[in-house]
This record gives sequence, structure tokens and C-alpha cells, in this order.
Amino acid sequence: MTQSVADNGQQASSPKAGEVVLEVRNLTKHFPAGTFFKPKVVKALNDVSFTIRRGQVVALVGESGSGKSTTARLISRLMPPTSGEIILRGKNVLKTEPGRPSLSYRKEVQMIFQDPFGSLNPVHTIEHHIERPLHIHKMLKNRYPLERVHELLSTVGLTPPEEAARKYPYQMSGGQRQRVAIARALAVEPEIILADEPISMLDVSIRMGVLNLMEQLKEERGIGFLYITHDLASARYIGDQTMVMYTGYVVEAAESRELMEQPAHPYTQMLMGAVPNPEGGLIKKKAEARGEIPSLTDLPPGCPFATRCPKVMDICKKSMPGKEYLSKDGDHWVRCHLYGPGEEPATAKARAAVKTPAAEPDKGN
Amino acid sequence: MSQSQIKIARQVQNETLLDVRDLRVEYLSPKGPVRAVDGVSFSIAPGEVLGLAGESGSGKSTIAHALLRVLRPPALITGGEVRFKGKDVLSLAEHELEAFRWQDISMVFQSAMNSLNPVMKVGDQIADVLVKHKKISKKEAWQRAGELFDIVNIDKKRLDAYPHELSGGMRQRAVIAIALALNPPMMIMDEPTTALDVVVQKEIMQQIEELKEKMGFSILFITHDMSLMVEFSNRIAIMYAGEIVEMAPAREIFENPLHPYTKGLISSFPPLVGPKHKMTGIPGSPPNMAEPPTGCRFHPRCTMCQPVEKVVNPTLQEVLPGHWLAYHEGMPGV
Repeated sequence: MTQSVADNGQQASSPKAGEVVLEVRNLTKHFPAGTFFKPKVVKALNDVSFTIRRGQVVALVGESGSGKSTTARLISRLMPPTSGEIILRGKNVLKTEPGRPSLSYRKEVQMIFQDPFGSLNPVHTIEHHIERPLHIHKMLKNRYPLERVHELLSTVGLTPPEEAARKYPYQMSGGQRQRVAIARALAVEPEIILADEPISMLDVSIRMGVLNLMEQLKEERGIGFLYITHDLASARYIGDQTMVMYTGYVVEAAESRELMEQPAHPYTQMLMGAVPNPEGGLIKKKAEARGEIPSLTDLPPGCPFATRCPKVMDICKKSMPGKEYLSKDGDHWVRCHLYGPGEEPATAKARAAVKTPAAEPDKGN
Repeated sequence: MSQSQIKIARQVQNETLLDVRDLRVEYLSPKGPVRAVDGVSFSIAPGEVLGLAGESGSGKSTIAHALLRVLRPPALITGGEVRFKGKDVLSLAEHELEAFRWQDISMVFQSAMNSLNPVMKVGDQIADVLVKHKKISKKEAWQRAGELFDIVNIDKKRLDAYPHELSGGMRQRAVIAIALALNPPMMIMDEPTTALDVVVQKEIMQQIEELKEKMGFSILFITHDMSLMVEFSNRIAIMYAGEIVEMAPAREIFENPLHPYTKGLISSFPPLVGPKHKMTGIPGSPPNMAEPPTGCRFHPRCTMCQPVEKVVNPTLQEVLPGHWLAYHEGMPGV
């Protein structure tokens, strides 16, 4: 499979982070809900598209219920999407292997779960957990399994590896277990690791250690990460690219620093204003923060954020805006009527002129 | 108890609402007692917010439960003194405790879903508190419950709702309304917003701040989120392995942390603005409290450890005005 197929034009001009490994196009997931007589649909994920390049960390940020974990579950193919495409190295995997994901897909795309207490089997040793994928995926190539297990444990900083391998999960702390989960994912030498809130259940003092390990793997092995989190600060710390999700839509995406320094979408601005930030001094400014995420069963027509948006306009209640590109290379885009109705990538024009969103508040009324 | 003891009492301000001295709590286990809180002393002035920060297992919540005397076996308060407005809390009898809890100190727990009764209307749960403590009729209590809902910004109609019909944020507001019901001079908030999204967190924290300004209660605020803590507290006490290792005004502790653990804790929260730099966190993992390390409990993870700390546990001393630190002679950076 050639790699160039995966590039559909818009990112071809930015060679900064290597070739595209995984591409997701218009991924949508609707769950049936309600009763037989009153059927309802939970629109968990709507029209999500993005790419992950070799050695790139894409952070997915959002409140609970925004569809972050659904995205990871669809890409890991723990469940099938309602519609959309998943393209791994130019191969449309939902077409070529529509049923269970193939062994090779599972080898390329690995997942780390939020809860390191639930993702390891309490009756098996750490050695067993890491050795199993080595056998299943035939990764050993005439090597002793234990040797490789020790090597992997050293990679994730569990030293001495001989001792760690003999332990049971209950003998380890949360941070150590999460490292075991990472070692297990690494065992099959994946291209992509989907990390679903990997640090949110860990003690605060050891979180940075796990993030730094991810960063190191990205740099040394060129692994691409989808880093799912609700914490904007950690997304900025490790994410090259950050996407903000709201009620199943990606509402804004940009290079992480640009997103945090010049948030364009009112929701991103609201999130940024809500994060406790002692660096900014103790100014207790009256927050614009208000309201809660609407129910996903009966989303209002139009933009789902309209009910909470401080800059809401009439059109927001009628139609959902498309992607509006704010930078020339197409890296920063937003789904918001403040910046225009949006258009599909094929017709995307560079709109570098609209780079200072805060300068047009009059548009809001 | 005696007058002389009260005189000795270390008082940060002339007026002290709550004074805790040398509090010790142990969990009894077959392998011997585990000392979860080991000689903790602090005080809270009226209207003050004292933050208690630390990792899970450092003893923060155990202190909160000990102050309200709601610890259950195998946890046992084995020493120390807790005075609330001069009243000795640890020697209160069961019937005195009933009046003490909620009228003097109320508490907001981390998980609102677990602290509300799922089969009772929220309004009834608030009214219950009022009927029990104020001896008023149920009708009056419901009316007062409506006023409380107004205060915490929930529509009065929702008094009729069951907890599962409310969103996470609204449930936490309802719990705060219950805590406010008797207008207590002090509130303990144990991770009040940890389970909530940031936007809702901000809203609720602002509301608490406003209510505090208006009603003048003190707060013992417990969280592991240093950023939120620095924004919200007046003073912060940092806990590690059952001990307070540093205590200072919030800004001071953020800008001039002296204890290596405090430094590590602050460097565990990447900033949202400013240049990106490598954050280290703290190496190693929190200690097993059944076999705490000898000497300074932080020494196995400390990057600036000195030989003496492996043997002698430093004591909390006032190294700068208002800045308390578990301190050793010749500690680097002090």
C-alpha cells in the first residue's frame, strides 16, 4: 500500500510530521435508544474527520459525553460506525475487512484505556500480559519471549524488569500499571496508539511521568498517538494538534499552541476561560461559563452549542455550520457561523484574513 | 481542656474558628495499625478558605471525616485535639454531635450521586435536614428549601425531582444547598467538583465564592488539583503521607514553594499559557502507608535528599512569616 493515497490534498503541503498513517473520514455513530413505540437516536458522533501522522500526537479534548471515547472505540473497531471511513496507510479498512478487524489492523492500532485497574487481569502476572500479544501476533522471530518482555518493561521505565515481570497487577501502583498497559501496546510494534484518558485516574505526581513516556515513544519510534483528555493543559503539553469536541462534533481544530492562544470557537473560548490557571493571577473575573451539555437524544436543530453560546445569532439555531478554514495550510479550522457558513475541504479557500476572531464582536448581534 | 492548654495553642490569628492540634488517625489492620494522619496541626479563621492538597492516600479525606467525627471502624482517632469555637469536638457525646454536625460544620462530598438518596425527592432531602434540626413543619421546610434552591441557582420546580433526573452540576448544587441549610459557620468541601466538567466546575466554584462572601462561612477545601486550589484558597496546606509538609498563603506557596514535594506537585500541572517547557512531575510512587519510609517520608522520591533525612523526620516550623515548612537545618533552597 502506498502512503500517498491517504493524502487527500489538503495537508499535502505540510510535511512537518511525516506521512499520514491513519485517516478518519466523516465518522458517525448513532445509537438506538428509547422504546419500540418511541424510538430515539443518540447521536454520539457526527461527521468527524482527521488524520494522524507518523510521530504526531493528536489531542481530542471535550467534556464528558462529547464523543471522545466513542471516537477511540470506533477507530479501535470495538464497535462499527454508522457511517464513515477509516483509512490505515491508504487502505479503507471498513471496506476490505468489514467484519472483525484483521490481525494486522489490530497490530497497527493499539489502545490504552483509562482505568489501569480494569484493563489488566488480576490473576495473571505482568509477564503473561505482555507475552500474550507476542505469541498471538507472532512477534518473536526466534527470540526468547522473556527476553523481549524484559526489554519492553525497561522501555516503559519499569526497572528492574525481572522483578516487574513476576509481579501481579495488585502489587503495582496505578502509574506502574498504566506503564504495563503501554508496554503491552508496544509489544506488537504498533503505528498508532489510541490513549483514552491515560492519566486521569493516576495520582497527580506520576501523571507527568506517563505523558513524558508517551512523548519519548513518539519521538524515538515515530508512533502516532490519539490522546483523549478533558484536560486542556495536558493537551497543550503533549499534543501537536488539538481538536475540541462538543456533542459529537469536532468544533475546532488547530496546532495546539495556536488553539490555546487564539481560540476561535466560542466553546473553546469558554473552556479556556474555565480552566483554573494560577499563572494568570488571581483575577476573579465573572465567568462566561454557563449551562451544561444538552441531551444527545434531542439535540436542537442547528449548532448544538447555540443554547449556551454568548455570541448566538439567528442562523445558529437553524443550521449546523461546516468547516471554515482560518489558516492557509488548513490546520486551523472551526465550525461556527461567526466565521462563515463553512465549506467542504474540496472547495476550501484559504482564509488567512480571518485570523483575529475577537475583533468582530458586533457580528454576534 | 484546661485553660493553660488553650493558651499554648498556636494561633495564626487572634480569632480562630477551628483549631486542630496534633491530630492522629489510625486504621487498624491485621498487620498492625496504619497511621493515615500523623500529627497534623492547623487552624482556620472565620471566613477563611484553607486548602488541603495532596495525592490520594495522603490523608486529606480522613482529616475531613475525623473533624466531623464520622470515621467508622477500623479507623480510630488516636490522639490530638480539635477545637471548634473553643469546644472540644473529640469529647462530644453522641447527642451533642447531632447538633454539632451540620449546625456548626457541614460537608460537601465528592460524589453528589452517592450522597443523595436516589429514591427520595431532592426537596424532601433538604426539608429533612430542616425538620430535624430546626423543628419546623414540613411545609415551612419545603418553603425554605425553595429559597435555598434560589440561592444555588436551581429552578424551584426541580425540588420535585429525583436525583437521577438532575444533571451532575445540578446535583452538586443541590448538595451544596443541603450543606447551606442551617447556615453553618464552616463547611468542609471534599473534592466538590472533581467529577464535573471544567465549565460546570468554574460555575460552581464561583457560586461558592459568592455565597462565602455573602454568608461569611469558612471552608476547608480539599482537592488534588493544585491549579484550582491556588485560585480558590487563602492558605494552602500540602499533605504527604499523613503529614503536613508545607503550609503558607496560596500565592506564596505557588510562587515560592520550599518543600521538594510541593515543587514537584506544582510541576505536575502543565501551564495553559506561556512557553512550553519540560515538566518532570515526581519520580517513584506514593508510599505504602502500612510501612512508611523512615525519616522524612518523602526521601525515597526526593531529588534533593540529604543523608540526615533518611533517619530524622523534619518537623513543621515557621521559616518565613506565615510560611510553615517541614524543615531540616541546611535544607537546600531555604
